[in-house]
Amino acid sequence: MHELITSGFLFPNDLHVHWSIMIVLYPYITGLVAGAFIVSSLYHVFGVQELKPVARFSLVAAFAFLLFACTPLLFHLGHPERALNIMFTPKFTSAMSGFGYIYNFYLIIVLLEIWFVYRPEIIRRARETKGPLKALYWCLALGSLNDNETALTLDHKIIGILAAIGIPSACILHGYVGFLFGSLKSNPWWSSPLMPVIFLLSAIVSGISILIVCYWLICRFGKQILDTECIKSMFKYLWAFFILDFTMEGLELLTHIYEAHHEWHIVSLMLAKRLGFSFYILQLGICSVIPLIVLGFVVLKKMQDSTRIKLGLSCAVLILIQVLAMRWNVIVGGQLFSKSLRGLTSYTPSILGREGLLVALVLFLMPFVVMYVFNLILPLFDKEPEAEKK
Amino acid sequence: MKHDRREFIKKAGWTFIGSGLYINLFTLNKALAESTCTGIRNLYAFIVNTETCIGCGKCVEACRVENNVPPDNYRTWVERYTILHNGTVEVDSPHGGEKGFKPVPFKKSSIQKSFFVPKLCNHCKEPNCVQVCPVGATYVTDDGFVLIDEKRCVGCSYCVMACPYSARFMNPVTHAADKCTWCYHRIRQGKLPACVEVCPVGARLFGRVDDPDGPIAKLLKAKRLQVLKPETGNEPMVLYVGLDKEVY
Amino acid sequence: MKTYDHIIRFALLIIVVIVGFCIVRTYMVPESFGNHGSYTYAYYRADSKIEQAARTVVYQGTEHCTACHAPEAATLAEGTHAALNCESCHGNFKAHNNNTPDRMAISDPIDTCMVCHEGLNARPSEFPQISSFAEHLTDQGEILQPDINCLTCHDPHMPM
Repeated sequence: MHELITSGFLFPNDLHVHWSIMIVLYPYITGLVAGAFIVSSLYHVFGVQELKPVARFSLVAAFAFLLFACTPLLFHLGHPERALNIMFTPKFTSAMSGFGYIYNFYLIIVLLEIWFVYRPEIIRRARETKGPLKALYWCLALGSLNDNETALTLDHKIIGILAAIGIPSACILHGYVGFLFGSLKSNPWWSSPLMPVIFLLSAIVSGISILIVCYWLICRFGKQILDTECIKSMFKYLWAFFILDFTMEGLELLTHIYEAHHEWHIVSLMLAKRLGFSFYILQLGICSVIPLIVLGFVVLKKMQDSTRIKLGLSCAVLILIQVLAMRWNVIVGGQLFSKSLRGLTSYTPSILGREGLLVALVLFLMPFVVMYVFNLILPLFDKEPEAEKK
Repeated sequence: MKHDRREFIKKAGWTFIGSGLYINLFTLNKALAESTCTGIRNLYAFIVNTETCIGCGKCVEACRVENNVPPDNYRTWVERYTILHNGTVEVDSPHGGEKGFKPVPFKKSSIQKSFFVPKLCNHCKEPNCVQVCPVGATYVTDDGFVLIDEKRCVGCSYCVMACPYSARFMNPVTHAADKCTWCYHRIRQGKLPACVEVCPVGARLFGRVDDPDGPIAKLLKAKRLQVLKPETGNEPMVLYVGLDKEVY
Repeated sequence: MKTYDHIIRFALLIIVVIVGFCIVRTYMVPESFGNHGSYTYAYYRADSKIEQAARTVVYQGTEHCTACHAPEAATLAEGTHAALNCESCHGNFKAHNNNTPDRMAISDPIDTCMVCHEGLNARPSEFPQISSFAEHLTDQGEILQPDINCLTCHDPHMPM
């Protein structure tokens, strides 16, 4: 364990940071889910045709992240074997209880939507393959191979409905995490009605960014052709949502500084002494100002598509770092000052151990493994470019 | 044949659904029936007199022994405030004050005033730590004690974050949340909390609010009392005599 | 019918999962768990209260010691240490039994007394305190020697 660096007076029970890197990772992963789902819904509900190439992939990405969203929490809990208590005896006055039912409800929605979207493909493969693969696809189709016109039209309607239900569900799934922090009156760094909004908006931008990065990587190293209109559309939405996100984060900070409540002395000291790099330099500085300006050029200015893609991609990477930094600054930051408002402590995550960096990295990479395995069973992308499909 | 099989599956399915719902509704009924019982009555109060506390730390030691509190975790602790003439406020609580205090490195002439403030769980009337537990592992008893069911706690630490007074901690042995219980087990066996029992100067008092001969009723009449962080709205039941503006 | 077939199958699957969950829940939730008043504040397992109440009591209180140590208790009750609980200085009762009577003896009188009586600014001025043992001796016109401690002049059960 690292030595704690303390200064000032802390309440004796305030020395240790309980909500560690695992708790930082959890909203980060559910954020990616929300963002990926929004991209998919932009196509399925709002009919943004440019996003069709990634519509299916973003659903699968949302599902893959969703599958692993609960794992950081299980590694954090004092009694993970009792985790199901949150489903058996939930206390809905607690924001955290939403994790059980909201999470599972949303998981079923996404799973259903993937199923309906992929049904034609599953049925086709069930018919064309033989042996164990045929059995697999038959099971996936739940033994029903009807793909007549009426059935497919019905499927299409259901996909629309699911995507429409999915949007508020995604908002609640990520919004409640923000509310979990924002409703805690005892922590002045967290307590704010803006917290759910900030968490949700940063979730959306992180989700769009991870899709941009994944799409580019798959097209660069796989056999997929990059649809430039698609990625340009994603840049556009990324910029729009990021402006909103940055505004909200800025408003939150400005209110803290301006109102200068009782806690501002210790909170500003904490930001300067403990989070100087991650807050001022990363979150507010490099990873906000640069994408804000550069994405503006990417979306509005005339330039070569190759340059546009390179710049946009770099901004997406910066935004992914910004959102992770923001989660860290909020969650860990809120625990670095004592409730005595007179002292600071420190937190350095261990590398090994249940709540260490290694586990965090593995958990973050697992959804990508899931996506890879999914691709072996059902394709993430259509093989033919969109133009020819018409 | 296909038709019969379909009929069978339908009947089996509905039976299955029906029985499952019935079993669950039955337990739901029980919960509803119990919700009509009387509400919580906060019968007890704890008074801390900072004008008499001498900072010997015996209360902290007694609590640790009585309740098996693991080292470096505190169900109760004592803080010392040293306020200098130039306005500087020094607060310290070496190991929660368990082994007492050593003299401060200030000249007596520079000290405006100095005092001890013992702290413990406030057993609030409307504790937000209980509100935020997602699994019903912490609760308020009928007579106002805030307790933890360490067999149900999943160890999420939300209550530890929620407590405005940092009275809660994660017990490294049970991996569940833990905090001062006002020695509930001692009260139920007709005794006083351990910290109240061992205090040599009577700085800690405990008793029923409605007992006219008890220590609580006497001080409620005789002294102006304050609570810590009243702005939270939690309505703490630990009342302080002599709380200074610097105490937070 | 054939058109809705796949939807019905999926719906049935979901229903089976939900009902299965409901049945498992009935076995997993303890009998005494429920709403015992307010859902916000009293949603808990009632047996927990009973378990807590049954915990072992460690500190027994002065009355308990009086049963075997009546003379000391009587002396104590008449002096300035009357409000002092026996266990405050001697440790908790559980550490004491007939086979190891000396476990409750005070190992270092000076330390034991100074914990309360060392002069600290934060202590109320009316509380009897001394700046240090050596200075106290000088004030009394005595010299510090190795075998002198508080008990040389003070009876802890009747100190003044």
